[in-house]
Amino acid sequence: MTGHDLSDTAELEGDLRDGLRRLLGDHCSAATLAAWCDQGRRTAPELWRELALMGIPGLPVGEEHGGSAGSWALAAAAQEELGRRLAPAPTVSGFAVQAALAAAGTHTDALAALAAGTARAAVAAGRTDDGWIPAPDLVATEHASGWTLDGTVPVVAEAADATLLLAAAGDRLFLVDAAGVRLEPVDALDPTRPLSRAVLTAVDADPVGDPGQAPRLLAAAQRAALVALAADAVGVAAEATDLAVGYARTRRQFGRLIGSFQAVSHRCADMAVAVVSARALVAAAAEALDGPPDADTDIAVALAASDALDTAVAVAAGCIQVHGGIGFTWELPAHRYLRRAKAAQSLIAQPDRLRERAARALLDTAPPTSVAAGSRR
Amino acid sequence: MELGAGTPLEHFRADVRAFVAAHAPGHQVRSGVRSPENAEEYKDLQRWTADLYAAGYLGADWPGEWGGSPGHDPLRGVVVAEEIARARAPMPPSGSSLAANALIGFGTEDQKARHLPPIRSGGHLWCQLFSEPDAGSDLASLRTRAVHDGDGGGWTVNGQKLWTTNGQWARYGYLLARTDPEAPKHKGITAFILDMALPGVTVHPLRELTGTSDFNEVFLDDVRLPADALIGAPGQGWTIANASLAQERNGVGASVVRLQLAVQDLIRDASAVRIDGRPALEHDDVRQQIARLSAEVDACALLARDSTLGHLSGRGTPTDAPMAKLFFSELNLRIAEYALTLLGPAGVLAEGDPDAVAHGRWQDAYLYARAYTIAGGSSEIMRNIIAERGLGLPR
Repeated sequence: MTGHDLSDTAELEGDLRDGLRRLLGDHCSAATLAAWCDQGRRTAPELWRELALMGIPGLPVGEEHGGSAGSWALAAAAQEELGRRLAPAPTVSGFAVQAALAAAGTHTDALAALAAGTARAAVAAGRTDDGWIPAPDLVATEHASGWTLDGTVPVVAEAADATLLLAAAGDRLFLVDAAGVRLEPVDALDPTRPLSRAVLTAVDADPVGDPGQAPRLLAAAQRAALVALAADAVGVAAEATDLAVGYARTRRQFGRLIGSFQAVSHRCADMAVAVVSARALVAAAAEALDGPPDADTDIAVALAASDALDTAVAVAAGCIQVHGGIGFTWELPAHRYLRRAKAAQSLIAQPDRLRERAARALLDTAPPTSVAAGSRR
Repeated sequence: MELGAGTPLEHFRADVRAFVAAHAPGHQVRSGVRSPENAEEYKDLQRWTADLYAAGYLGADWPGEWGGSPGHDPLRGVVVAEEIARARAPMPPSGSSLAANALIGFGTEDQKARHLPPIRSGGHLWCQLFSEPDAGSDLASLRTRAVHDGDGGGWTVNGQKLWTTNGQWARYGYLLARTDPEAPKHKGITAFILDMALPGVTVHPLRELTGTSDFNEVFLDDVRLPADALIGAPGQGWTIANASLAQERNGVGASVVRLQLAVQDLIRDASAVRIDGRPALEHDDVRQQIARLSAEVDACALLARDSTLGHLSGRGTPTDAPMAKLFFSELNLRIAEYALTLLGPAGVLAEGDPDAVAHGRWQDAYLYARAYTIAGGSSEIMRNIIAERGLGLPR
């Protein structure tokens, strides 16, 4: 956040959130979104165009690279608002690819196009409990004229209208023109974040960085994706809490508003506390991304993502429970929040593994203490 | 853990198991209380219902003149439900057996003669028309109105029902409506037979969060019921509903069997899913978690068994059923939650995708599990009942 003092930042963030809420209120109302999902649509080009006009895709990138703010903190704030409205906009993956390209310091044209929103990128990597690895089935071949990629990546998120793929194959990362890739729809728990199967056959591929850099660049992409996904989860949880509270204030059973029953009101209070604490962790992680990466960055990202992803699931489930029977209907959007939250939980890295990673880092950096008598194993 | 191990009931169980294997419809049912998904499944359900009655596995508790077996051991009903659940076969429609209970207990001879035989033959499927948009956990506040048309006349019904399982397939509805708005809320309710083909009855399938349609909304607009649609006496509806529901305890045992199957599925999938290159089942934390869930399923089975035996012996307490229901529904939810956690990165794939583990049925079970913590009295209501009636805490 160089160049802004605290009050400027708060004002910028407030303006950004207000503007986005207005935009999403028009383009992403509950009714619009329900129709979009139920028609089986996978892209929302108009919404994307409006977001690009607002500079949302380029928030993490500085103006010198064609971006709009150079602030992960603002990017996270924007993503929270997108999560609140379940916006079908491929920003999480776009932010991830921007982070990788920025860390590589190459492909400035692609970075500028992504920041401007004229390009959209997704990450084609292998998926494990701990996060992204090189796609196991993807083979990179070097020719005299350059590289090609062959193979299938079973699950690529937010690729439905991607123009670029960042592919992790072998010991390298590549940028690939998505036009040459067969992207097949995959049935997903959450229709608002569509998944695809990517099939590559002798596709031209442009290496990003040297082989030795690939793990660092993929880690940068994953950190950005996790922070964005966590911010999205905070938005999901915040809206689910608002829906639950709104219902508890108006629904009567047994002659009383159900919000007057402590079983309901305490659940709502717990949901609100969980949202506020997750939001704080995500803000800290986003700020860490704005600085140079170090061990503390990883801890902040892992803690924020594990907390926010779990919180969103618990809160979205609580929202359904508070609604009772009506929460079980397709018509009420509560299930869409649960779907978005649950799918996010297993999209990039499992929350328990992220917590384990943070715990390891915390314990490894803690000063050694004498071990009390006895150990478990 | 099974009811009647080492007794004649065990032989009965073996017979039922063989019968179910030979006669149950081929389609495997999803988790939960579901409606037939198409006309073919509905026909299968009708035939299956008829087979179960014909074999004496359903309706044995009916009076002899209507096909029952006097001296019938009520535990046999529990065993039948358990074995149907174990085969993952469709449950016979509960609306039909509830209606049969009500007619046998409170109906006229004419009503029994008209309606019991087609229930036995599977020809007439019944739905239960109790819940309403504003009468869920608080069922006694239902507002559907039935107004008497005058001496010897029938009734005119207006209102809306919700959460009607099999409403789109049912020939008759077992309806609760308010006939006396001046009376205390439990006293002004009356039970009726509703011909679902009557003018003014509109059934809208309701799409649930699972994406499937298992319940319905039923709109009743100036529906004219004949005088003989009345079950029992006006104002007796709440008593009739409770009596017919109390007889339906067999589902508790079936629910426990479903949990046991879920744990088996969990073990199957934990052997297939790999974490860090090894089967998940080889990891200590996974073993611990599955063992813990399995132990809780055993505890749930014991609770359910004691609840059923207590009820049958008349020594039950008012909190037996709420405790079993709370324990079951929350445990069922945790098993599905853990299954999705265990699937890890594959958890995002849903039913329909060829790479989805167990055909994506865990995702469906996870979403459906919400119904159990809400329907039939939410977990919050169960806790209130346990606290107030069991622990004597003030309201």
